[in-house]
Amino acid sequence: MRECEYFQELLCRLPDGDLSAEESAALLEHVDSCPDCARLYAAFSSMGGAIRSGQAEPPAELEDIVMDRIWAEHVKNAPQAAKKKPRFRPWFAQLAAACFVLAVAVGAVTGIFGARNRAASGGAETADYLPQAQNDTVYARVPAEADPAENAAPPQSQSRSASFALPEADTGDEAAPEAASQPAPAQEQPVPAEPGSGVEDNAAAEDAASEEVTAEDAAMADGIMTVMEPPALAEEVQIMTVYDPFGQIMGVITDTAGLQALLTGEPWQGETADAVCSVTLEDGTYRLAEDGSGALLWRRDGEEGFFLSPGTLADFEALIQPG
Amino acid sequence: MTREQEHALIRRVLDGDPDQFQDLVRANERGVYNLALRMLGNEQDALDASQEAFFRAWKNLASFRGDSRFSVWLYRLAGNVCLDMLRRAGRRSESSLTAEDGEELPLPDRSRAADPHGMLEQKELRAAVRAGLDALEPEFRQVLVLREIGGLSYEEIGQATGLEAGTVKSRIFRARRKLAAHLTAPGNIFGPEPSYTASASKKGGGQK
Repeated sequence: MRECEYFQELLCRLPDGDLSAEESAALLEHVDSCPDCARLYAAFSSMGGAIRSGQAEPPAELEDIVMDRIWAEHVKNAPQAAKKKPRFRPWFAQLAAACFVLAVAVGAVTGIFGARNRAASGGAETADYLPQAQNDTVYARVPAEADPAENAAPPQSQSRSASFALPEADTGDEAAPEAASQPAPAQEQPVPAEPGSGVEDNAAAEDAASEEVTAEDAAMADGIMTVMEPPALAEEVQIMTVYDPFGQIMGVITDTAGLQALLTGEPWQGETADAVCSVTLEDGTYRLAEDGSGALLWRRDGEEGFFLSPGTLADFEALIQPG
Repeated sequence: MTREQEHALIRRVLDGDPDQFQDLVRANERGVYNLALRMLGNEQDALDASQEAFFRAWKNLASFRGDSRFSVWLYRLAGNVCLDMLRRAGRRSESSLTAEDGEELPLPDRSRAADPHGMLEQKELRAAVRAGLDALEPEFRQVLVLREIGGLSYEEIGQATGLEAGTVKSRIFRARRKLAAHLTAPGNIFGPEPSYTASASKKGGGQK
């Protein structure tokens, strides 16, 4: 049909924005009524996808070439890392990769956060937490004695696990002295009275006593974790927001007793075997619950149920595999 | 992989655990490789470009803003790598993939009208499109692919191919026409019977 040939021409010009409004309308109207042209239209619409999502299998060695090159570069920049060159994936790295989208109440960030940080690290810059454009590990909450720009994983992870200033964390490992030094200054910090400090009004209204989070709240969005009964909720928390390099929010969570936990990005397989996971924090309200294994954080509004447990690895395992 | 999963992995990589990047490689290698294959035309170059793209992605990971899918960012980076290679193969000046004016518009969605009887398969269409692209002469294929991976202006395509911007534009148009002609020939996106020359009484979703 000649008519279809005409519309084909229009179609060839459409992606460049070359058609007048009338031509566009005519083309779309024709497409709506002509199955053949509709099919061609659909084919053109799928062109981007056709080009970007191909059928050819990449050669098997591509992964290895990439990872070898990355490791060579990484080791060059961080010689300590050469000591560990695993390719194994601990079981709960899968888990960690799957979960931990939380929400956070926007609070008076730098004030509280900065103050706490200064106290805890003896005057180190609050800029440790702020987004940086470079490749250094940004959100490592590094104690004053460590170099924030250092790339190597082990020293930083160690200091991060030490920053979990929970009583249970002091289990007599090498991180203990650092951990012990953290909670004390943290507890000295007064809980800020600013209204916008992160304690939601509705949260304050509801009593902490034994509100139950539904099982659904605890379920992982993609089904990897099993649903479990949450423990009774205890204290209210304040959440501070800080932006990481992605523009995503990460945060420091405190409870009203002044404990402090830092959400970091890496499961630490050190002596203490803290299970810490990365989070993306969004708006919401949280409660900090302690059930003896450490702190659990539940999202209260019920939209997405994720939790984070900075307890020991064994505790974490026990929690997620009930019974 | 959800966006949260991606971001979690990326954080761990930035923390100093390069191993985690392997998951991102696995999740994206097919897309990147095929993109490179389309742009460069042969497997060896596609492999070189792919591994370079992933390496650059790792090296520049801290600059990933997280406001788009990681794969989108990665494709753009991979496209730049391919452009570099094309340029070095004898073209010219600096160019990079940016979303500037002249960006190709996505076609308004007509999927319901296009498939009233549910007979169209996206996979089938994509396969047909790829076959159609492969059937094009390389210079037509190249401009179309460069245009379709997104964000390249005529100017930039011109720089990558050594053509004037105006020539690029007309070449793209001609490439699309050739592709349309190929696709509408019997046996490609339509069944074996002739389509456009058939009588007006045909109905259905294109299965003939």
